[in-house]
Amino acid sequence: MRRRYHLHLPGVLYVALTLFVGVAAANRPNNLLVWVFGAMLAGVLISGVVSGGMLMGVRGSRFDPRRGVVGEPLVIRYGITNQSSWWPVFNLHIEEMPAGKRKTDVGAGATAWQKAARAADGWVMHVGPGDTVHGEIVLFPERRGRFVFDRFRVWSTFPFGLVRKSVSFGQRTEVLVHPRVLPLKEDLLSSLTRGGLGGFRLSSAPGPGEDYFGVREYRPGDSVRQIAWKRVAAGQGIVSIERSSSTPPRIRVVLNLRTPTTKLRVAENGPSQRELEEQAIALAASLVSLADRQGYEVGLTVLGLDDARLPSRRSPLRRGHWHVEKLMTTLAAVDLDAARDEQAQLPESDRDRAVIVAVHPDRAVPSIAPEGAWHFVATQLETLLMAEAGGGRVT
Amino acid sequence: MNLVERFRISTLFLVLLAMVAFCVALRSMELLLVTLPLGILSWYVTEGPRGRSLPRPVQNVLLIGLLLWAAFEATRLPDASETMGLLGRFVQWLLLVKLFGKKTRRDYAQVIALSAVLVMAGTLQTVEFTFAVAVFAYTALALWTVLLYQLWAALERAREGRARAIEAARHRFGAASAATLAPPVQAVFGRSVTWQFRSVAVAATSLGLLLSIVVFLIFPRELADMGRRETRFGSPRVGFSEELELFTNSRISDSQREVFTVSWSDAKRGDTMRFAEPLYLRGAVLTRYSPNEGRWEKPSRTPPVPVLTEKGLFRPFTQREIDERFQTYVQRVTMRSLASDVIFAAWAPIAISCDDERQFEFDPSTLLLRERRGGGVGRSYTYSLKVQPFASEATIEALTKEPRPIDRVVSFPVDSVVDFTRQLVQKQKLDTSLPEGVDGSDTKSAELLWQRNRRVARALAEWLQGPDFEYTTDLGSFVRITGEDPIYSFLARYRFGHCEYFASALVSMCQSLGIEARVVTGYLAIEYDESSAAYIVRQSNAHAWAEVRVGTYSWLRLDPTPSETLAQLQERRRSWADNFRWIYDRVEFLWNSQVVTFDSGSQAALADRVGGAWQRMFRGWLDAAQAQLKRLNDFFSFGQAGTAWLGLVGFAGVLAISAAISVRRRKRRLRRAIGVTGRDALARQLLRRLGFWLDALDALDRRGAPKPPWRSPRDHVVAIAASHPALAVRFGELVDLYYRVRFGGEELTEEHRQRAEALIHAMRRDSLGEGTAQRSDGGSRPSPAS
Repeated sequence: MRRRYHLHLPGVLYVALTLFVGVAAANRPNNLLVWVFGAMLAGVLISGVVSGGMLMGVRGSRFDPRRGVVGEPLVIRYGITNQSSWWPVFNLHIEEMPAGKRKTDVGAGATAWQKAARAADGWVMHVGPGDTVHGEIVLFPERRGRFVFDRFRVWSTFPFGLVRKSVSFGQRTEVLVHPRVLPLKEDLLSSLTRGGLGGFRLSSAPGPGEDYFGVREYRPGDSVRQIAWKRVAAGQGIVSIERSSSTPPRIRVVLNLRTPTTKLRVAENGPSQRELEEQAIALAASLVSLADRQGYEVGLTVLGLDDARLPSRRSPLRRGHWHVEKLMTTLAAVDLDAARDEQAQLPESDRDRAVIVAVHPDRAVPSIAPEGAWHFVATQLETLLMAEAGGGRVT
Repeated sequence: MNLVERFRISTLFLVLLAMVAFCVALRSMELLLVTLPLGILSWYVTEGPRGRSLPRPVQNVLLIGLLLWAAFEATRLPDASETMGLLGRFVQWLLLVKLFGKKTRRDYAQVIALSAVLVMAGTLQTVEFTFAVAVFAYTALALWTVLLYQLWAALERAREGRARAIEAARHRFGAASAATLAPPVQAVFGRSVTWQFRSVAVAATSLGLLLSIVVFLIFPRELADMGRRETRFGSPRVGFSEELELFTNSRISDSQREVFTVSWSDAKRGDTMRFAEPLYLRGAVLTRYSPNEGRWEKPSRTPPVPVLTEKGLFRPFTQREIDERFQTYVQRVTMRSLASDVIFAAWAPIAISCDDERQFEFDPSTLLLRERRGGGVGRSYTYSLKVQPFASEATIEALTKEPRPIDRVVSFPVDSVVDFTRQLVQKQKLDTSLPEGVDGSDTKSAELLWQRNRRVARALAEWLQGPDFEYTTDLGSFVRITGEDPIYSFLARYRFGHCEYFASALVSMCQSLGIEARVVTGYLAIEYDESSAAYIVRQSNAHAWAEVRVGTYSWLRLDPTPSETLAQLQERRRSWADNFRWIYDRVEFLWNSQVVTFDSGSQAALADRVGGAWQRMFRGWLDAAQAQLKRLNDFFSFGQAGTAWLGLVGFAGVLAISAAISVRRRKRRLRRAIGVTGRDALARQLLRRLGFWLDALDALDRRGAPKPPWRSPRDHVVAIAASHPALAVRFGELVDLYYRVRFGGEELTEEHRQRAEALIHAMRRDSLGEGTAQRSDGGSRPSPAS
């Protein structure tokens, strides 16, 4: 925790004016002017000394925001506590200080937050004696990745705006920013899985589906329509037909990062190599998100990245919020500076029973996936977007 | 309406108050009647249902127009001292333009700053009580408004910042992106915010008032006092003036403010009475006329006679015997609103008495009195004078000490007035000549001279009181003619004016004819209050008359102003509000006497008074302490060594109190560190057992690896493991012990205690001897020694 006083232009002007009035009062037989000078001087003293004391009891902590998404507001909340027993605190501004300054290291694979986000300061109007209130600042991440917040500062110019006082608190927090999810065409996945392996799977459990699973003894409550009347007629007793559980289509997104960034082919006046890779990641994230939203079981394979820190380079085919969060976390944690394995192939276990959709940064490499797989390149992203997706750059 | 929403209306009131204050300072009712309604109207126009405001270009055009007007007016200013008035008028109109315009954060800051400039301009114009009241009210309201502005501007700033960030995100990610879903900025506040805000405002106001009073009392005033001596009158205008300017037409005051009261009593019998004629209370004598400036000035001053009064005793102005048996009166003056060092006395004062010790100066040549400045704290006082309205030559001789020589070359420096007087004398067939050889060198010759003076002066005064002349205080049509003296204009052209013109005309005509005469300014006491048995002297009773020399020591008072007209005017000006005016007058008098005239002498007197009181109080305490000590010593019969014993006991007591405070503070810290708030047996037990935890945290602090409150002990061990491995191991062991005792209910055995002490000792020793240099981020690097 560090306290500082800052020079403040209104304060400098006010002090200059006070000195001017003081000189005038010393040279004019006008006691009212003397009193005015005294009042102005008192303003400086009150602002500097008394209000500085207000911040003495202020303590702050940052709540971990867990994750953010590129292009979506990331709200970071702070608990501001006033430990003073008597004095309330007013007009507190909260701002994140740039990370990685003062020789502190943000850590391998992480980025200082100010390099990837635009922040809007937070403000707390009042914290009573012994109270804790929650303030928030909003960031708009512009890049995915792991970002580090090192210190934040609470400052105030209360009561008169003459002196700016600040207290900074060191608290390291890491936030994972997921890649941007873009609105892809709604019929994209259905057109990919139509008639292929991705739409067919034997059910392994009974459920409310339509396919035949087997027969079992009648249980009270079974519908009359469920009764296998032929078996009843054959004298086998009353038995009911069981249906299989639903068999959602399956899709595996393969992100091809075999080729090192420097070896990627780029068009003139087109996006840079790193931008192509980021677009490929965004496309993969959008495919994952769309697949989950449309009821697919989805899996992700990051191909060619030799990074032990990556949470999961291969994931099973699953559905649901937490599974998608895992996949997004994997995509967010992709470190494009990590070493690449240019000979990497899609494992055999990932090749069956799902539609393979491979996403390549610059050009399609069909050899990484079995025959029948779909291949997209990053530059196709804009053509896959919904028409009303609006402007803005694809990141 | 919440706190932040109150800011706008508060700012409007602040600006209106500044406008009122400035108009009061400028005494410009016209400006007030125009600008105040416009200012109020601006609220309806800009904040009303339609909420319209002046566009920026129109504001800029108006600003340029105002600048041009101010520049033009500046070239026409007759006096540099009026610059602040012009600046204030410019600022007032500028404020109106701002009020009608759209207001951002910066605009509101400018409006507040401009209102302060307006008040400052007024402060440089006047120190009058009414203005001071407005300034005090403005200061309090300004403080409140600035506090509100801080909140309002911060909220606006936060909103603008977020809107900018959203706009940038929208630009980058597209209009349909989720960036637009950012939550709006809300005012976040805790409990009782309004009450606490008011408390802070009241505390800041009180503290500011206290500090400003301290600064006011100790502010060095030597330079300002020099400036005060150079000015005509250090106090606000009260009708009376020690100089008389005829070029300035608007100086006559018609205010009904009480200046002082005069009770008149017979010195011998002591009963209060009303004198047979109005009392002419002299304040200044002016003999020389400066035609270039149209001003009467004081004669060169003779050395004054100092007079030091004692409480209740009359101090005579001369050591020579004065016969007080006949026609001696006591004039008792009680000051009401005049803060001046001039003592107003009827002709001729012979002795003075005052409530307390004060120093006065008596001018023998003019018989005028003045209080010597300095020590002016508490200037609300009463003084009494013994006067002889019909003083004999012997009395005046005793007072003046030396006979005044006859001035044989009396003349008036304005030829047009001299020519006019000669023509008038011829026309009126006045005999102004003296017999051959009469020059006043002997008694008989002098008597002829005095007779001529008396006869001619009375004739001229009667002529001025005649039907050709009219008394009026409205000099709107008294247009000054370039190159023409105002006295000549009065005599030959207009023939209307107020007392100063009448007195100036008589004296100028007398001097034109070689007659010694002088203008006297002061007050005319004509309003007698039967209930209080005293004359009430108001500001409008300020008067000017003439004195013509009619003897070696004698001066004949002649008032050429039509006295009946003057009395009628006085009666006509009274209103019902004047019956309650005394309340205001008392407060204003306090303001003038205690604040306006507070100077370096007052500072010295106050310092003496406060210093003396403090010294007395301190001595009293010391004596009381010694007496108590002696009583204790006697009670316990300690004998000779008793004082030493008591000293030791006192020292031990101080040590015990210090130790108790220290223990209490440590306990409070420990409560905070381990999160125990209760006062039950379990809490007391934990506090007894976990003292080592506070020492461990202190050792971490010394080592440069402090544990943040939000981090758990176990996490902190992990966090410092990389940078302080040895420290982390020892602290980790202490954490285990802490958890077992704090949450596991384990007893802290003697073995545990010794182990904890050893670990803490090792942690401290490491901080001194292990030789690690700390980085600012809590990491460490090995020193060369290690």
